[in-house]
Amino acid sequence: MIFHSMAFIVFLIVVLAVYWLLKRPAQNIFLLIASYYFYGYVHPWFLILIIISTLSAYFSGIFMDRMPDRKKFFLILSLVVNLGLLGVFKYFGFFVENISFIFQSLGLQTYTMALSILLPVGISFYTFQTLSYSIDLYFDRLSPRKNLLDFALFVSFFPQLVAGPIERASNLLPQIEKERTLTPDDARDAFFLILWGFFKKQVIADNVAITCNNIFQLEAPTFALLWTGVFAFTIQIYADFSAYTDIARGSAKLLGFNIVQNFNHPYLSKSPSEFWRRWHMSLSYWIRDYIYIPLGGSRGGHGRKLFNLIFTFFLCGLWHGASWNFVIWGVYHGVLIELHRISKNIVPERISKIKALQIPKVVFTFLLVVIGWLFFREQDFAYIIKYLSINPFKTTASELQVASYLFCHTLIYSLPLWAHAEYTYKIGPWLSAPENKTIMVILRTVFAIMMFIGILTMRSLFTTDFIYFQF
Amino acid sequence: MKNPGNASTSRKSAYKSFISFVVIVGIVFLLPTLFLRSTKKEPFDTTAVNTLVEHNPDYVFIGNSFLDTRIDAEYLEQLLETEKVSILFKGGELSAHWYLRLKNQVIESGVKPKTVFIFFDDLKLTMPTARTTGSYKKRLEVLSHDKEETLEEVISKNLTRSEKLERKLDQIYPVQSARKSIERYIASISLIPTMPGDLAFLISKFAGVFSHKRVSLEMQKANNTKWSGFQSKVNGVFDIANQKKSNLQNFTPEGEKEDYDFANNYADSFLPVMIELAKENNVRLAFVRIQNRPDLNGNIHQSNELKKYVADLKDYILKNGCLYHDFTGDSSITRDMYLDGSHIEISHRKEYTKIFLEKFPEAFE
Repeated sequence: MIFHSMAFIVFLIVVLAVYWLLKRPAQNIFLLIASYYFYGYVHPWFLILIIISTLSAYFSGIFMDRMPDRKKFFLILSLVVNLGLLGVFKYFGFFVENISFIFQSLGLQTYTMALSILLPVGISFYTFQTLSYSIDLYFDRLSPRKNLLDFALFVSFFPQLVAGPIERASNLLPQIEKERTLTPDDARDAFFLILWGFFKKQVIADNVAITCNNIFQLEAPTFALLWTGVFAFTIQIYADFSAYTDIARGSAKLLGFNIVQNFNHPYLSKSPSEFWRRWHMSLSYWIRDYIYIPLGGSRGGHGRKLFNLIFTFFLCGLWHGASWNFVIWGVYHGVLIELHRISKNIVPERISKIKALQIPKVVFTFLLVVIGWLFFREQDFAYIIKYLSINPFKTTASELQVASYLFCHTLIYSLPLWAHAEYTYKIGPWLSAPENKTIMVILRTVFAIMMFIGILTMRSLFTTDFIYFQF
Repeated sequence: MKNPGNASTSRKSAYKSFISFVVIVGIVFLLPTLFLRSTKKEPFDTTAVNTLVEHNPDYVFIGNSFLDTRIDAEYLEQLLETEKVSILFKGGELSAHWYLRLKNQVIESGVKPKTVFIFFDDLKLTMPTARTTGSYKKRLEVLSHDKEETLEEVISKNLTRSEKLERKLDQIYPVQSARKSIERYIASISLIPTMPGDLAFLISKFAGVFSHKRVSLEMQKANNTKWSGFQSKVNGVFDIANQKKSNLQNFTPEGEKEDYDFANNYADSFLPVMIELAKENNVRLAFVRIQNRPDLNGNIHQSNELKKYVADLKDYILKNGCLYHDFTGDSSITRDMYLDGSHIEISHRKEYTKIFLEKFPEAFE
């Protein structure tokens, strides 16, 4: 079930109406049923996988608690099951293809089994949730949960099930296990969040997607056109993904839950490292806590530190998809962070903090991020090479005009994102003071009206699934 | 000990917050209805009817831009020597519009053409709800009288639940004219860097919006020419010849899988309605399927489902006493004649018209 559909709106209204008539534990049971219905709406058999993931993590936790001397065994069991699910359903074809390629390069005959496996929506997200639970249990950061239904709800909680944020058990489970309340202020905040999410998806993301898709369908775009397309994708992916998160957080809030923020105006980052503290935060903190730090993090010699960083981002890229372009994208960001680290050793901090340099830093980081999105968007490696070798001076006046028009068109649609950033940093802190509450409510209501009118009048008639559904 | 005063204050505060939340949600959803203009039906346009009466054509063509880029009415009249031709079209129109043109323009005008041609592509004759919303709805209104029961019946029969809900929302929030204006303004602003010389025009246009002054017709015409010239450039950049080869190979016509099921779709479409209408009024209908542009090797790609659909369609049309011609696979219509994937280049329109006359002589008997 997709968020930006009538079916979801009706579903949410019905769930809320019934949910708030109930009290725990009936609330949790109802929410679990609703979450399974939500997830199985298009492909009911996907439920088998999420139930396997849930049971494996749950029982691993139970047995880790009962047999502490065999903790490692049960942790490995949980890892094998969940990573196994991911491996089979997401990476099987990729591995077979690459092994086959290697064998063929060595002149060996291969017999590849063409297995058409449908990728279950959200598998990368909920398996990471169950994995983090098992790992945290192993390191005694959590106590094991005995209530299977509550735990199942933690894994399948519908607002964040298919595209995150990736929740930690330490944040979500306690909320599941206690009574929830919904104040009118929370309801109002949730309403604004959901509306803003729909605006970003239907007005911004879906409109710039048309430009992006048309350009990426060209065999040989000119330099200007190509980078206009990449710019359009830069706006699209942020608007699309953050829209999903906002709708998820708003929906969760209406149910009395607070789920983690996933974005913090990432395109205002002043460095690649900062970008990863603002972009898809739940994933970046996950890979930091469960991959980067266990590998050693920034400890050890230079070679080891570099390996830890690049390998972490290699896995981050691979998480996004079973394709080398995603790996290249991940490694590219790893390299950027390493280069940033080196530059910090060269450029004195007092120079780096000069006020006049802050905007150029933001612009430069933004350009680096835009370049990275090329690798993310274009899955065909041959085309990536082709695009990187385009002569920037070889173009026609027509193509330049068209590129300029499409760039401006995309820029116009992206303006609300920049305006929102301005609001957050310049006006938001002043408005959040208690004495300014009335003004804040009035202003947000005005914005909400504008967003609603915007959705009615500017929403794209061409819409797609959220981008991160494919991960 | 609990202070009853505090509990009462807290309840009042919660109550006020709840009311303010309801008011906010109400304002957000209800206020736009005050800004948006009401859904008054566009009046029926009699221009085409009057033109038909005046011209009294022997042959009438109905279609959309695919038709317009293919048939040159004046040239056809020259080839026919003594007979007259009228073309009824508007870009983007589909079967709902074609039905209305047949009913409210051709038949109502009282003219008795020898043949009425309907140009279509692939599945469009049995997709009755296609292009009946948004700006196309306005076009339907212009072609409709106040009550069009058959039109409403056919469309309603084919709407999904979510489409019905969308239409309800369109009635509550009639945004189509606002949508069109906003699209135009965004496009105009996006054009500024590419056409700085027209900045003065654009500024005067915006000024015209706010002060209700009209921009001179000459400037409008000049701008329209430049805009359509620019649109040609955009079309040229994204021409099918410039697409990735994998896109070309995988090219499939529009439509969902169920749209290819002729047997289950035709009865609820405008096709039998048009055929019945034509029979009742002694009008001979001729359905013409256009050919999409061949690939670089001169081949036309048709899935097996499409081939079956087309075979069933042809069979149905012929069984109902209408004429049918399919230009798909016609080697005289070459790739270089095309402007894009479906339209013919204007410079080849006369050539196409001649080919049409040669290949479909029975429609002119």
